[in-house]
Amino acid sequence: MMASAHSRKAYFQVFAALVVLTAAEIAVVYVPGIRRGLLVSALVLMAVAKAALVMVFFMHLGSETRAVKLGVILPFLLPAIYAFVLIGEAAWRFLS
Amino acid sequence: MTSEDAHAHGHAITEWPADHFLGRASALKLGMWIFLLSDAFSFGGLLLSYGILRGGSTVWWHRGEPDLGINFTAGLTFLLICSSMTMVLAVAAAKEGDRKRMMTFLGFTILGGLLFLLGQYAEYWGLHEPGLLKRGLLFGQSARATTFYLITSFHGFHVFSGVVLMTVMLVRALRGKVSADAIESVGLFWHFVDLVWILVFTFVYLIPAEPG
Repeated sequence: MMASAHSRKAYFQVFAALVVLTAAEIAVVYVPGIRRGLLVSALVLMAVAKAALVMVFFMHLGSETRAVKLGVILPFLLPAIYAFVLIGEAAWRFLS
Repeated sequence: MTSEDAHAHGHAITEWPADHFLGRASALKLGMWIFLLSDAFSFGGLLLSYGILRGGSTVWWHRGEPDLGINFTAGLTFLLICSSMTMVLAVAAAKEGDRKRMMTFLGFTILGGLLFLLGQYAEYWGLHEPGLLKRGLLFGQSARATTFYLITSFHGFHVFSGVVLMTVMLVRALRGKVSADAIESVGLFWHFVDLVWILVFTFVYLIPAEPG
């Protein structure tokens, strides 16, 4: 498989997106009077977006077969589900 | 490395037939993905415990403990993103059989990793300013301090391992004995180290805490 000039251009675009998202993450922390829930959601969303960009483009997961994609992504969802359940349980105990 | 280049060095490249499910992904690459998944669970466990401890604490940031400082670590984050970029260019060069270019970009990636480790040393122990240890963030003193050192040092150990792996690849490339497949797998590991740092940076550094 040859890496063409086209894919190099895509790498630079992904790099630029990662730098811009990092700058946005730092900027959002310094927004005066931002609601905590909004701040945390924005930060987590941007981090997940950055991680996805690295996986899909830099780690070339986007160009693997469906079986390889699913084999990687489905196990990655397990800790996310686990976190959701544990955090949900903690929130429920906190609220009740 | 091209196949001619490989033959010149007495190496035969095995061109596996495309598999129905796995395509042309090599055993080495699939093995690396499986390892990375297990590694992701290790980090997942650490970050989950961090979240549970932090979420369940009444006072997270104890009086007398220092601020972690976003600006310096933002620099480290930028460094890792740059090194991911040079790594992806090294892999592209390796696939094109451009050994010299691959080695140049691999060299830059190693440099990025070493600078990150130097930055982490400065953060812990201090270089021209006192580090976190001197400023009162001590392992075992609070959940905030202990989880901080556990998570960042576990990540730092990965950066160190990546630097060692890439140096081995560079030495093997100098002797003409490295396949594009091996460079790609080491690249996967390095991008994973970057990916984990993205999450660590967000959870440990960016989500603000108030001193208690």
